[in-house]
Amino acid sequence: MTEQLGIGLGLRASHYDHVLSRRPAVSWFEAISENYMGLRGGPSGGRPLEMLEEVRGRYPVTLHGVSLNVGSADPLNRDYLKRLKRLVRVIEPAIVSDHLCWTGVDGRNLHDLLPLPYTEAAIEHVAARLRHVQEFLGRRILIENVSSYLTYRQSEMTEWEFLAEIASRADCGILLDVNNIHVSAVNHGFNALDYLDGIPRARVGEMHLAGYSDEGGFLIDTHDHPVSDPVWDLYAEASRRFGRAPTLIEWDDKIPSFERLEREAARAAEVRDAAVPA
Amino acid sequence: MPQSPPELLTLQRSLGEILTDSRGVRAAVGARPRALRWIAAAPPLDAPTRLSVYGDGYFLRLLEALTSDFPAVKRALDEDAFRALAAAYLETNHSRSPSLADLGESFPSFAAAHPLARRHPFLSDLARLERAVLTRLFTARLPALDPEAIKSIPAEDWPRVRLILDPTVLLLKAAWPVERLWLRRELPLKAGGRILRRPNARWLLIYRDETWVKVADISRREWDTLRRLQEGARLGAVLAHAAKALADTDAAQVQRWFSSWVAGGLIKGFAHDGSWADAKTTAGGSGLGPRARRSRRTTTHGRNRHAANDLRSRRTGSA
Repeated sequence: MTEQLGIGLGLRASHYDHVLSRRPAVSWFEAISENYMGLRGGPSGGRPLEMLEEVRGRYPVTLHGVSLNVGSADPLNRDYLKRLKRLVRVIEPAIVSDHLCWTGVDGRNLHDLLPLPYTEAAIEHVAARLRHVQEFLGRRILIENVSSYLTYRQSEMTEWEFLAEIASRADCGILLDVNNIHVSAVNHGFNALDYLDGIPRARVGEMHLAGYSDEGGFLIDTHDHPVSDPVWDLYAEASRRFGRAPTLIEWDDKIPSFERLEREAARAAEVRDAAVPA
Repeated sequence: MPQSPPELLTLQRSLGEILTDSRGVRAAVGARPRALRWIAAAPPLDAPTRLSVYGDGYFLRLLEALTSDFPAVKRALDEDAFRALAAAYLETNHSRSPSLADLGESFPSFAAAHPLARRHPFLSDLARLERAVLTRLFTARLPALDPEAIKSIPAEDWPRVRLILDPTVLLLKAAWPVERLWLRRELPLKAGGRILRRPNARWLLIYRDETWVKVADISRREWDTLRRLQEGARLGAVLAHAAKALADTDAAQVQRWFSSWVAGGLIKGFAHDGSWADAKTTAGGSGLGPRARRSRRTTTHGRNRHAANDLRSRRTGSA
């Protein structure tokens, strides 16, 4: 059913007015969950949540988190989960997702998406926590591969084997970030197509596209550029393998005009349609 | 839920210390070289360089969040001094929340105690105002007051009525006229009006209407009357107190206040049940304490159609 969502855009505060007053023909919007949960100890999401509810009244919305911290050695944050559940209840999103990573430890939040060691112990740990999260929320979630700039000596398998095994044991979906695969492939010297080949088709519930910065051959996932040609090519390959999964254009820094984002979404639709005719 | 693998905890603690070290990743790695045992060698980049991608981003992200939440403080101090203040704050105030909006929770009290506050004694008030504005942004509003609700209250009940103020209403006392700096927070430095040289007490009303957060510089009398109402005092007692205080000036002023509060969407309902005589309140709350919230009869309705007309005549601004 979510296949029908098509190509979506990340909802950013600078576009609220445009989205609500012009009602552009966008298939769906992705909202960053934490932006709408309100302050610590506060009972509500306030003005941001009011805006999101207005958008939700007109468009399908997905919720994408950055602080589930599912890979952390810390216990799961109960307060965070309660707030997320409340938000899910209010917004009724088409998809709920977060990242396969750790974002902090000992209660300290690094506000970054750090990779995990690809080990059997980590698989057990993360899969158990994902099962708990899904049970608590009462729905399946998607887990996204992150871009990375380092790997660990302790890793026992490839990233895609790690991701696929966790999704299988947790029985969750996969949000495949095509740009992140390309960034990590360049940074760590693996073949991005091997990554795609290692992902079970049935698990992929959504794809992400974004732009990166090239720092002399080392790629940083900055979300401040258009989608690059290698990533468009990889998206075509991914579409051939995983079908017409809902796809999001992410652009979080140096945010361009809404029209520029719409053109990026139109190109994504062209690439997908060429790869997987409707 | 099973325990986390011990090795994962050690790895994450080790990297967490490196990435949040205020001296930077390379200095931190120099002091704790064993942290590198986790990182796979991958020429041409060495492990400290790879860690720096995360470490550099950590400080920049947090600095960006404070800059976004305290633009007037930054404008008052200039770029370098603000960065130094933020860096000092972040050394002892790590983010412990999933949301970066919580990061500046203790920034006003930290700024008040910082040496920069001796050179800029208005700093504490300004930071408190900016934090108050942010908290109003994240506070939910009640639906607009239904005009019919006013008519439904028998005339003899009015003295015993308590007003329900919108939860976004916050009253702030400042020793300095910091709302002036706040109103100029987005202006370029060359526009001037960056700092304050003389204290001049302010009674500020902060609230959110259907568009954004407003800051109004109101009279001490009006501020005090609103505070009493917010604390749950009965209307009769509040009016009597205000009329007495205004006896030598203009008693009709009270009526104008009420008109502007209704027009501005500050009043959201009435409680007229005699069973909540000892209700307590908290700033930014609904105006009534837990017991009152359980027992009161509230009258609220619909969307706010009358916002911020009379309030325009005062010194107001939007976040």
